[in-house]
Amino acid sequence: MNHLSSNTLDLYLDDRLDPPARAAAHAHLAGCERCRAELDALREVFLALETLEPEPIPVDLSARVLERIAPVAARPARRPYVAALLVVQVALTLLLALWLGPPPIDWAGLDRLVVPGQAVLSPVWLAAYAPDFQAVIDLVGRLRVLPNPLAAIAPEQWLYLIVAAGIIWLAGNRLLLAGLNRSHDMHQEARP
Amino acid sequence: MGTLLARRALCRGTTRMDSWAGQADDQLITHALNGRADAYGELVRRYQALVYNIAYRLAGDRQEALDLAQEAFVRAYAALGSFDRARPFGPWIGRIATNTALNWLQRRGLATVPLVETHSDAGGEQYEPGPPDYSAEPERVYLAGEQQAAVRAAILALPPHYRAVIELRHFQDRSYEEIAEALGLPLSDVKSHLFRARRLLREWLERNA
Repeated sequence: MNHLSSNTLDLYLDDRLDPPARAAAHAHLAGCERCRAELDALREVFLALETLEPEPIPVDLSARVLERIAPVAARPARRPYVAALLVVQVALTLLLALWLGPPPIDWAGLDRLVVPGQAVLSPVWLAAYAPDFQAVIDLVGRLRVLPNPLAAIAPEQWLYLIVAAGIIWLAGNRLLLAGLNRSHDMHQEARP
Repeated sequence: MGTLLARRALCRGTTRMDSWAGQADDQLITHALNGRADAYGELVRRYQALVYNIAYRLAGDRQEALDLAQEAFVRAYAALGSFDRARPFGPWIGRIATNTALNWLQRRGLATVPLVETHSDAGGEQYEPGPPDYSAEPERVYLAGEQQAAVRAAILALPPHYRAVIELRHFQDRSYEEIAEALGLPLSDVKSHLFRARRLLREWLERNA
């Protein structure tokens, strides 16, 4: 009588035989005492491994781990919404700057600008591009007729408020003036 | 002065750790990511036994296991921001511990198959000779605790590459394919390593029963 190989019994117990091979092994085991005994011996090994209790850890690692991560933990955590808030603030600032409008441009006096290589800013160049600049100025002029929801606060004051709030927020999140903005935690105090 | 400050900080840390005891793992992780490193200390205390046992079963040395466990927690902290808090923390730190220990084995060249003499059993299958024979020791009375010690000793007596497959299959319930990927081995090697490791364990346990 052919017996099941040790390898087959191993795979059978570990549920790694394909269905036909498993069915054949199962049928053989039903009628072969020697293979059943071999399977039981192997099953004891599986059981011994599965019932092995974990060994108690001899020391508490928490203090050692905290000591090692202290330099990393002391760094401020980057919050995911920082980038989004920065974009919103910059966008609001730009919109308000547009709303305020650019200072009036003295087109006739541009040729009197004192710049090195004054010849670059020739009247011909200015005449060629002035219409585009004028279109932008006209658009901004139309924006200025939008109603001011809080009439008591002038557009220029809104701009200053947003810039000031941005500086305070950046400093509070240690993205600005970080050297002057230390917080005290136990890891810093634990260092000699 | 530095020692005094460190001791005071540790005591304060212990008090803080007690207050973390009732918090769930994902809450501790959130606090740790928000700069409360002592919350991570509570996570270490909860899972250090698991991590230590993984490292010990793979490395085979208690002191080395402590060092590897510490290293695993430090690596986990560095990667904490990428951890999905909807998933359990245990399996994740377990994998980090396994990888840390396996890297250690590979650095020492212990994760490769050693050249050993082979023998054949009656069925013509080849296997390596088993671990040392302890049956000549004084009479041993096996209580449950000693049986556990015997199994643990049998595992530690295995060659490192056999310990690795036994650890991943029987203690971490990984599939043969996952073991092959974790160890960088062909599937056929995983099957033969498991087969031989189990044979060695069986022989060792029968010899020392």
